[in-house]
Amino acid sequence: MKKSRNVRILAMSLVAVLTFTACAGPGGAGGGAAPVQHITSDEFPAYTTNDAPVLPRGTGSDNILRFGNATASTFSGLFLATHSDDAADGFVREVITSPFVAWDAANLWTNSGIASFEYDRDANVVIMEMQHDVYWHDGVPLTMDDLVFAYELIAHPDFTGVRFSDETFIPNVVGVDAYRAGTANYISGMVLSNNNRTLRIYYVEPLPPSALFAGSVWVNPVARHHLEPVIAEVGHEGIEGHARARDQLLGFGPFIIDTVVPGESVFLLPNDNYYRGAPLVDGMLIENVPFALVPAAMRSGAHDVVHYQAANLAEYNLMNPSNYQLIGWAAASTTFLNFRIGRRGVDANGDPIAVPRADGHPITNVAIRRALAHASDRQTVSDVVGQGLWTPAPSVLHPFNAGNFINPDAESFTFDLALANQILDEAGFTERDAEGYRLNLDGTPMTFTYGQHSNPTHDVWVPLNIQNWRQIGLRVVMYQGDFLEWNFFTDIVVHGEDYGPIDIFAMGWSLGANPNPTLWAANALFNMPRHTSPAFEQVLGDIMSQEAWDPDFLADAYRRWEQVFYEEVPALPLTWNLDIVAVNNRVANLSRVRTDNGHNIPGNMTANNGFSGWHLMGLTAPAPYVDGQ
Amino acid sequence: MQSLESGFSEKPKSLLKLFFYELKHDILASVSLVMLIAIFLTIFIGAFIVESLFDVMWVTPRPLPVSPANSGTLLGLDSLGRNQFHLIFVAARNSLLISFGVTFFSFIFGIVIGVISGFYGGKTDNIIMRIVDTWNMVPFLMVVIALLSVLSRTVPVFIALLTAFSWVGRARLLRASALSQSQMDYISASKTLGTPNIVIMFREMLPNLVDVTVANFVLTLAASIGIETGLSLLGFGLGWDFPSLGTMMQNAINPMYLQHFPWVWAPALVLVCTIMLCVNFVGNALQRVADPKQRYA
Repeated sequence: MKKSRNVRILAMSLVAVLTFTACAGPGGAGGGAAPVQHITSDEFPAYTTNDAPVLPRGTGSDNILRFGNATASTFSGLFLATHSDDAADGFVREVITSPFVAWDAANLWTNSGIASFEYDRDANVVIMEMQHDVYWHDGVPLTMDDLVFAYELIAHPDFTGVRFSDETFIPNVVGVDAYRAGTANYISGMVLSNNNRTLRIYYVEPLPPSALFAGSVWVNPVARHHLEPVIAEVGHEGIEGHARARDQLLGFGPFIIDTVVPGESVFLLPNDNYYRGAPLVDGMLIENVPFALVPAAMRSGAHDVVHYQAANLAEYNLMNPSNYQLIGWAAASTTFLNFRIGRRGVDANGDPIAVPRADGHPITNVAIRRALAHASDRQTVSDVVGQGLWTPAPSVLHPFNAGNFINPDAESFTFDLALANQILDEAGFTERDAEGYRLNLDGTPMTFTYGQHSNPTHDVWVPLNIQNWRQIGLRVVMYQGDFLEWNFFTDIVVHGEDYGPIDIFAMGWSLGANPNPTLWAANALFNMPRHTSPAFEQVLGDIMSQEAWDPDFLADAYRRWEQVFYEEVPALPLTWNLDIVAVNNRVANLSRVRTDNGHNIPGNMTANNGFSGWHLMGLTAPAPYVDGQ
Repeated sequence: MQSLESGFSEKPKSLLKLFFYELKHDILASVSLVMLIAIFLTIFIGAFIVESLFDVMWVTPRPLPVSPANSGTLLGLDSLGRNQFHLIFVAARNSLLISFGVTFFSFIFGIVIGVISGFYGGKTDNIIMRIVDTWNMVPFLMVVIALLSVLSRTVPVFIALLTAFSWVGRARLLRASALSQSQMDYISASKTLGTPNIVIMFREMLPNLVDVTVANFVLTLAASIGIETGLSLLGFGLGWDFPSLGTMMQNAINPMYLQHFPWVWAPALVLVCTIMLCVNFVGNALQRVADPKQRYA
């Protein structure tokens, strides 16, 4: 199964995304009594302010940053960048490395990292040059040869990870075919300078403009001197299980892995040889903490920094703790309500491809889907679950990675029952049965099956949707009468054969830095509606074409993409959300860091929005503050 | 006949009389019985009225549950904006109906299998009881939870699943009593007269098992309410649009709700506890009726 990097649905991050939900202040609205309490995003600064002096290093065991991992995924303990694909492990990877090539606020590669990045379109070559003297944790210099080694790892036929994909453009590198076939023991398209500080990567096919976005071209080096002996010893299959890919992994970032308790915690020591300066703390402890306990754990000072869920906000408002504050920013995730209008078949070459639904189910009627979308009350979900911090998504594009392309004047699915009724009437669904439900065009009863797993968002959205759809005369029932268990649900909607028993279901994604909508391609596993159409394919092809190097063409293509998505309604985007992080008052210099795979993590940033790193984060008190003291 | 046999001067008391005699000596049981009847009547009549007047499941989502004071309702609103006072009637009725259903069907199965096993005895009894033993070894809760997560959660499925596991105990109980009855003279006499076995079993023997059955029926009812609410509490109850006391109590799993919004879970909890306690006290009184050794008189 090809896992696409920027559209991978993570069971885990889904839970994280979707449980990022909540309820608000005490009292709330009752029978029109008190108004809904709204928290505006203005209340969440993007960084903390703490002017107290930072504790010096070496003052004892208290100068340790306690980071709570409140994601549903736990540490698998595999931190090697080429092989790891887990959010919790990814976070550890962030702090033991440092961006080799950095990116700016628009997610484009910049020259502010360890190496510069340049794509020469005429020669079809990427040129990277090291700008700093950087050392691995064991003191060996980091060179461009280590990046070549990462490519050799990923391109090897025995590679066990998921990175050998079009997302990283590695299959497109000159010489990869010969390397994979075994006729060459190196990749001929990767040319090092004599001092190993400049690397040129030649490509077979010209790269699309998405190659300029962080998270596209692979830029994470792997220590050759450290892992080559491992391959000699255990082969490519054995890498994942080897200690050198786990707790003994070498990095070149501000922190060094000290001890790992798989599934529970990771302790890291500061790297005094970090090329941008020694960290200000004596260590970092990353521990798992369940969602529901986050507010209580923060109040008792158990952690310095934890990801907050929207569901936690209600408790925050109730308790009004004084020992920690919240910072926030736009979430790198999105949820779609999908209409199953196709199935996953195979094309002439035997490769998977979306095939339109042919069983005549009314969900294939675009008027029905349009009516369902207009009758879905996303504003209430935003107000109630998102505490008023969310906005109903007006576009298939997301501001996190496609802010420049979103057309503010584009049409969107406003909540309008009258309009939904009108659409159905005009489409000919005027006959009704005794219960008031509309009949299909041929006079037979229509029923739509809604399948969903339970989480704070869906617990509200599902009953609300079914109620509203009943009002426009559409009978929607839950598959098996209730919310489904998560794995059972994904088995049906992601991996199920044929159309499956579920017509309507919502699913969320983590977003990548790159806005191109490969997720909706006809061959993509995560094209959940299994939708394809000539207009759809045309605009998707345009976005990935060479013509897209023309900014006007690309902007126009994205505008057409929004339009075709609105017209064909394969899915309804839910809301634009916020990520919130709770930070104890003793933490100084903490702000947002956007990682190359699109996750916003707390770290710190300089004022100009450039990455500055974990080494600047400090603590101003010997222990986390406790609420009420 | 009786007086001829063993010098008893009185007629033996009827079961009903014995029951009332027990109640007279057990204030707790008699109060419980009155309360139970009142609660059941209130629930069923109340649910009927509420459902015909309001759309109980109409949702108007809120960020948080609304307290009784703020909402102007007796028991407040939950976070989906449903009136808890209306909801609790429907939820309680649903829970009771399911419990009655499970108890009723498990007794039907239990009686048939238990009586057959006890009446024939010997090899038949041995085979049936080994099957019952094997079935009894299946971990009930695990299997039910596993099946409920893949099967359609409708009322018949729910009742069938719970019945499938609760008839076993009834069968063993009935089998023990039937075994002792089958040794009695009236059974031998009836056999000699050529009465068909089926008639002996269900027309002649069964009435003599009524005392055991009734007492156990009431206690099983309490257990069924417990299992139904327990499964719903764990999230394996009926669908979201089928309220039950367990799903109402489920709110308490969230620590914040537990601490700050008692009105969304406490009424259901109090009601379940009250019903189960009352049923148990009445059931114990009935058990004493069935078992002369425990009787007050």
